[in-house]
Amino acid sequence: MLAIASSEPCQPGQPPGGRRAHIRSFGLLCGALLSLLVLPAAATAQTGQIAGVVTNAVSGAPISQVQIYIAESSLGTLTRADGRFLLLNVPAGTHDVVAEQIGMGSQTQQVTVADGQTVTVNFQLESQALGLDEIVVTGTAGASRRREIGNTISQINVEDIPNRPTDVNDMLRSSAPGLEIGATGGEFGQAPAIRLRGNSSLAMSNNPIVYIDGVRVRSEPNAFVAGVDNRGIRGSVVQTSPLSGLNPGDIERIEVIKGSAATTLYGTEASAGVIQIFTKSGSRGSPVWTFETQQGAVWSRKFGPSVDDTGPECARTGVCNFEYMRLDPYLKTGYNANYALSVRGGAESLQYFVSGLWSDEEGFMPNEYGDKRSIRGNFTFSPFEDLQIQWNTAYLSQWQQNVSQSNAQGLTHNVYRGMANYFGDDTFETIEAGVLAFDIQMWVDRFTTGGVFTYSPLANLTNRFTIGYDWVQQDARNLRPFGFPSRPRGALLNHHWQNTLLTFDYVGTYSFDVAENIRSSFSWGGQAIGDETAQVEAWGEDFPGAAEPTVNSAGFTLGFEERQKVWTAGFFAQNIFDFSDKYFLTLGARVDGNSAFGEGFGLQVYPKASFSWVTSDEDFWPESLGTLRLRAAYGQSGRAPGAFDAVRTWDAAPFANQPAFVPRNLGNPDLGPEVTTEIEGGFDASWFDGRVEAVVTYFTAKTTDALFQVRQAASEGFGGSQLRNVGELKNSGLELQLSGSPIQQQDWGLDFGVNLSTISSEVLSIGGAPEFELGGNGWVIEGEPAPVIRGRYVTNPDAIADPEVDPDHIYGPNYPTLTVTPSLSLRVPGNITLSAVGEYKGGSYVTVTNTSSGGVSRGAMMPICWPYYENPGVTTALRDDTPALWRARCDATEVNSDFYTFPIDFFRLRTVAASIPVDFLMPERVSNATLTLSLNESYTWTKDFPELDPEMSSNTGGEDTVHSISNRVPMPISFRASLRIQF
Amino acid sequence: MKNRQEPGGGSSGRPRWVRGMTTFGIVTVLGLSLGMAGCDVTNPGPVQDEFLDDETTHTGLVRGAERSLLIGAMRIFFASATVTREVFPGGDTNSHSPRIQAGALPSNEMDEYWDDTQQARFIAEDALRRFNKEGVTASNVNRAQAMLWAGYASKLLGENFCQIVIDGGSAEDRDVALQRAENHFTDAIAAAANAQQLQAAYAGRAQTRIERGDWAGALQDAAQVYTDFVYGIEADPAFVETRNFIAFANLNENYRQYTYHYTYFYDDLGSGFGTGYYTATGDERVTYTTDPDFPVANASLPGFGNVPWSFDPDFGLSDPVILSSGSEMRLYEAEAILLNDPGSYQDAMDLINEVRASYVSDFDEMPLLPLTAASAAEAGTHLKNERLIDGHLKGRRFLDLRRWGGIPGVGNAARDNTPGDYYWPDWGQLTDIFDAEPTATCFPIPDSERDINPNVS
Repeated sequence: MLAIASSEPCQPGQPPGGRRAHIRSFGLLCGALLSLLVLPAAATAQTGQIAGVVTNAVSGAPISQVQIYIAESSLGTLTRADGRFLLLNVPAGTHDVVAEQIGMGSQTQQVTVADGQTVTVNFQLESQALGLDEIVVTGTAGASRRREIGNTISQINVEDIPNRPTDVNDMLRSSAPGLEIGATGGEFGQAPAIRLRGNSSLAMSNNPIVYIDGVRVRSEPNAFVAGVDNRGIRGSVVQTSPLSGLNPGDIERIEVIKGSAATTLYGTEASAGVIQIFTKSGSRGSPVWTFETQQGAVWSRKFGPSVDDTGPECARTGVCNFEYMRLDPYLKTGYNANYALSVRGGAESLQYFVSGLWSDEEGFMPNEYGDKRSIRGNFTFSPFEDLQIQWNTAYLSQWQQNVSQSNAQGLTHNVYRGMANYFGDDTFETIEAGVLAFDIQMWVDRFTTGGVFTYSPLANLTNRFTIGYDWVQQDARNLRPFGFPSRPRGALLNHHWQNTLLTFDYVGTYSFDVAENIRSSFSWGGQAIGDETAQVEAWGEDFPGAAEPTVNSAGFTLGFEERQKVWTAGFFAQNIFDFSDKYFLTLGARVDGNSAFGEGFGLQVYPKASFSWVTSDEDFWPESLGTLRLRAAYGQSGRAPGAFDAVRTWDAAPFANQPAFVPRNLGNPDLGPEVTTEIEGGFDASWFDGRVEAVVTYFTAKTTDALFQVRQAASEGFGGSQLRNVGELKNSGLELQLSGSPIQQQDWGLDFGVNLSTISSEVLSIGGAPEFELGGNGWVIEGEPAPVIRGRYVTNPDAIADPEVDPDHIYGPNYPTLTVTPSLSLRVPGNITLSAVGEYKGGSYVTVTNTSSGGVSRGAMMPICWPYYENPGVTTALRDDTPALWRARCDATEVNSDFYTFPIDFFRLRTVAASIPVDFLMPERVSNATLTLSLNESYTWTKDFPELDPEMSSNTGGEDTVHSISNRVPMPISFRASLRIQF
Repeated sequence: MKNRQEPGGGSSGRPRWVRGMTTFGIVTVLGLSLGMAGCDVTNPGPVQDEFLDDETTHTGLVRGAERSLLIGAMRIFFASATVTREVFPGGDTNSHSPRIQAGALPSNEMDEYWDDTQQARFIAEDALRRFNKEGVTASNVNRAQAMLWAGYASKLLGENFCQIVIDGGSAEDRDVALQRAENHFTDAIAAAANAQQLQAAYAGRAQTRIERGDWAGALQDAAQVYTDFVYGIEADPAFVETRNFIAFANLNENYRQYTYHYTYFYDDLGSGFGTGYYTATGDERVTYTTDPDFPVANASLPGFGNVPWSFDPDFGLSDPVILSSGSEMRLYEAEAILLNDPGSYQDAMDLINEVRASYVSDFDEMPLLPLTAASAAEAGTHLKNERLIDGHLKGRRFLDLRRWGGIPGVGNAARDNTPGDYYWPDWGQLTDIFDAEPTATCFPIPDSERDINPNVS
């Protein structure tokens, strides 16, 4: 409640009724939700009970959260923390009782219940070896068993994540080899970069596309509030993530396919991979309510150089070390709370899952507050025997406030530079007036709805039709009030942006026997995705006085509008040949058109083929060698150019109240998608009764017709750059997922895991174009990684001499070449689980573009140079014995951001968590109660990173192809206590 | 399997609408897929190229050239003023890097200076190509205006860049651009639709001819231009790109990027910098003041520290960028006298004082008092100072310093041996960065053009 109270006063710029209206509508929705869910359990005259316990077949340990239900009835429940369950009001008679859980498969036992009696039935579930018979749906037409598919699919079961993340991005972090949750800022609500198997494009987005329950949703970060005329860039620099709004409690599992060998059927948008999120659906049985609350705190990690100061700055400001880069007086502990309630249940003909979430959050910097409310209703019903409809709907309303950041009126720019800031004054009062008075708020609303109609008129014929709608709206309001020092008459930016995605998708599958032991499963279908973005911006400056302003009250106003729409459509066919349920051959292709292709381009064809061999099902395979599947896959997918890239266009730029035409885009009528062709191969194996499992994959991907922004010689007049299909890139790597359970006893258990991935990239050709920079010192050079960090380099770093500089030194790749994620989980008596997950990344380089180098060039005394100043805190003159590298970094006449290029080699302890069953503290009606405590992103080791943090990002964070670092703050350390109760 | 009813058979109670819906879904998606594959989506906003052949767009096209020229001129005038110390850098890196503030013009930082001016030339020349297309009708005003912008843009390139590249060709002597400028101005003189266009064409050609060393031709053109004629482009304060960003850099509320301290105009600080010119005259062309609440500029100049802050309170975001003027023509005429007939220096002083009399003092709103000279050298010093004052932030200082013998220490030979001295103290006394590398005398072709254009080695 503390956090709630603290956030209330911080919304001076909110439109009338804004937040209250949200709360009111949320209350109404909650009321409606609750009234929907009062579904009384059936009462019957002659009933009995079924009781039992579910345990792990190997260790004997109880298993909680197992779904127990009676087939073809509405009765069901979940096991408690001690594995026990009780089904009440079971009609007398014979029933099939089913126990099932993701990763453990299902078991059915038949029992006969007599009136008034309790029947005991126990289950012993085994973890499925490699999950070969698990059904997966991402990347394959229709649903397939994992054994049938020749490529890897990573599946993340939310229940397996030890620290109960409050953000989907955190769920994905460290979860699968080849999946990188990359650079981000520590600012409240900042979207991170998501990459699957590195960068497949150097001009277009590398964000994977995202589906939720079959409906395509926005995956790019929401709009950066920069404004058409760059008027808004002096804001928070925070770009919100569309995934952050999802309620983690709604999610059951996530499937990730990483390369073009797997994503062919998604066509033109899919070369960066596909993430599909599956939310919980209803289940048969009495309503099961789940309440979860999380209380936590975030605080800043130390990110400055370990330098103490005893000079005049210490005396003046009281900041006597630079562990927080002078930011100490502005940092706070941010308190967070969220509350989620859900219910799932239903009968055979209708199942439901309904949930609501409310959260109240704070960041660790001043002015950082936010809240979030979401509601979801997932309904499954079968109006007819052969028709099933799954209709899921979610609504999110989110508000956040941020501090002005990384600009002349931003906190870090002015604090990091001390007295040489934009005010020539580093006192708290000056910063408060000149920065913290800048009021930056953002509202995000999102509505996603979609239905999957599955019509199976024959046992071997399935038609699946999906229709979906995803709408995101972001309103940003950046107010510099009247009297703001650097804008004395005030200024206001209103930025309204929305994105709509429409999904139409049809898949038909017909299975038939071709011959004895040969079965064919033929799928065909089509997909159309409409992507429409609109943004309108209003700007006002020069207010009449200190009254609360709107744009209308400004003396000078401007308006901007941008709209664009892109349609991608394609059709595909695929056939899976099944030989004896051991050999599986898949052949398929997708044909795509796209409204952004050039007029002369036409259609794009993406073929695929894969093979899977369950070797251990062969007669010759000795059982002692465990389970083995060999697989290989080949496939293509693409990435389309932008809406206007193919056409020669001019901008009608406003100039003195009249349009003025200036060149915009040279145009390229032959422009098409870049096409990534990937081959992957590997094996899945398990040994020792499934106690050790390994999934090993090698992939090599080549992007041809790669889209490069080819710069035009300015002397030719049109200037700028033009997308051309001229490049060739290559990515290859090895992925290893190893897990083991060396101790599996009833009271004790020990699990370990290691995810390892390598990436090696190379620019094979730049098509005759000159080498070019993508920003942040990331260059595209033939024969080098894509991108490679190139820049000035001091060749005599330790010499007590002037720096000797190589102007074009190749530092190395920008994308981490090695990522290792170890995890450990220990179960102790009481079913208490202690877990730890860490992550190492290395082999790459990043340039800090504007922190110390920017400060030094402006004559600021930067903490990193403190040991080399002749008279620290007084003058920037360097000592005579300063080594050449530090002369280059700290001398204003030598300094360049290139000299602040550092290796990214670090290890971070992602989480340490304890999961403690606390059923014993709860009333009898509570079936499960678990307390989870976690400390997140706490310890960090770096090889040579003297200031800031290797996971920080530039101002534009998740959108960048090149990882660079600017004047921001690193992600915070957090502590969370989560209590989840089921009844 | 055999017992199973066929779709729609009714045993499952499935009505026709289910079949209909499913069929509709399949047909819809397949239809959409086939239909959208190759579909044409028209998005609002950008204007397709062929649309600009239409006469209704011609004014916008000519204004496009004007807009780009405004931006290019502001960039070049501001950077050259910094390098030649017309203004003194405050340390802020928003507009200029530390090297440019120190007086260098590095080839890897020249993109924006080159690009906008080249674009202005291209748009104007592209407009002229369109106007000359068969079947295209263009007004005389637009035609002459396009010639003027093509001339001024070419002149800006030729006056400031060390070498020139046209339309992706090879690097050539900058005179190639000046020749193109002269041709465009000649065409404009012939096509001028009004007196202003005619004066602007003569003034532009006079400037071009001076830079080409054709004093006789320049003086003929200069004689056609009235003393009070001023030709420039009004900045548009509404937009970041088109507001007068030289003025923005000097506003007493944002970045405070340059100051009048240490310049010729400022009061002598007792350290050999500044002449006290403004304090003595109140000349409205070089107004400045100080603000006790902000004694220093925003940033810190390396090796110097916080820079004392002074600013022009009358310099606004909509103020025009001046491309040519009648007063400049009179000063050319005065300089020609000093060059060709130094003994008639009083005639030169008359012309200088004619220019000065057309401006007033901020102190009493009266015309500036005349200057006197007792020798050609003294008159030449007045002339050179007057060129600095009258050409303040108009991109003239760079050219003048080159003509008169270059920036001390750089060592280029004088082309015009105009008598008299000009203001150039030992800036290195203030901070080492001013002596770190030679002061630039022209803008180099940017690295990007060299990297991209195979014809430029």
